[in-house]
Amino acid sequence: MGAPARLLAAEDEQACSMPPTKSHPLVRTAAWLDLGARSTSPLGDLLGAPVLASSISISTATQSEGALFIAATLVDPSHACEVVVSVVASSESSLEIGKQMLGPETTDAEAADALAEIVNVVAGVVKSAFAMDGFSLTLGLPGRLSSAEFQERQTRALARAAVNLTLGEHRFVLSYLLTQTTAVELPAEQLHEGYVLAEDFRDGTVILPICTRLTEGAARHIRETCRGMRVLVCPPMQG
Amino acid sequence: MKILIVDDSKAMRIIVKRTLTSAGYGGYLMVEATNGKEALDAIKASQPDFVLSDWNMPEMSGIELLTALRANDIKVPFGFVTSETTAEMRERAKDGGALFLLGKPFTPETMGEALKSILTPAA
Repeated sequence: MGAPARLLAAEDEQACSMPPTKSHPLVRTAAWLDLGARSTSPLGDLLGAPVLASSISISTATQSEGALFIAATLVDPSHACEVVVSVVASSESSLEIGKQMLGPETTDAEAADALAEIVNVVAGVVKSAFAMDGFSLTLGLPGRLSSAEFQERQTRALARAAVNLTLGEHRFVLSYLLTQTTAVELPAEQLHEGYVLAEDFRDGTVILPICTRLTEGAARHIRETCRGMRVLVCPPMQG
Repeated sequence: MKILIVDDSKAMRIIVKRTLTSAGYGGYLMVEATNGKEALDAIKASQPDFVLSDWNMPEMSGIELLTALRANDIKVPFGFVTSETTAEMRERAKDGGALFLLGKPFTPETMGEALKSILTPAA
């Protein structure tokens, strides 16, 4: 591992552009209000660098060309909502984060894996925080989102927050989105390209994590091998 | 002397190995599996001294692995390293026969503390 870098919170750029929906039960929790400080606290140990929690600020998650979006979704079926925890980083920053975690020979693929582990750890803290407030969320496996998928989730978020962090000269963003789940249970026979899994899918031969957008090949596999089974999915995005 | 590390994340397997070494267990042979199913096959083929497993993995989860091991009467010492540490999961881990559930991220100190009554350090 290289020399420990200081993990600093970047200066806030602007206030959250979308005020929280205070009527939603999850937003009224201590877990949501304290999300940034709580869930970034493990990053120091994970990256081998101290986190200056006092400087952490909430801002709108911004995007850059070629950015990597890695997300894990926590689903709360009883409140028809989900919390999407994402790391957003440029490819250059991703590699630096990966090197910090894994060593100087880290590849792009290993760096993406390292970011997924950051998401996994942060989402685990978020899950525990909500559990302490009495909300039981199910955590899916982390996976990569396209920029359009991330944008779509941002657009339909009921509430959102983000923490800007910098590692050396490299910046990355932790984003938290509370969205209403649009998931419906459909018979496997009705699935086709574009549906997005709202739960991990496994049938013994194929494993598809939550948030996977079905390709025609994957949809055909499910249609042909899982007849009679019902699958929790979100309908394809329009436009 | 062998420790089996089970995690679908290559990054986390690297971190676990590094942490074990820092905690004084670098003398153990560290072998890897990327999910519960792969681990189950590996354990049946050659039983390690200890299994250190993630919880949430594709194909077969950590708790499914532990259940399968006990169902096959394989009593290899088993611990979890996982990002999810709710009271419910700790209970499930304990009921399933796990010796501990260590939250991520962990340090050489917390790893050493979890292992000290189970494995003798070997640098």
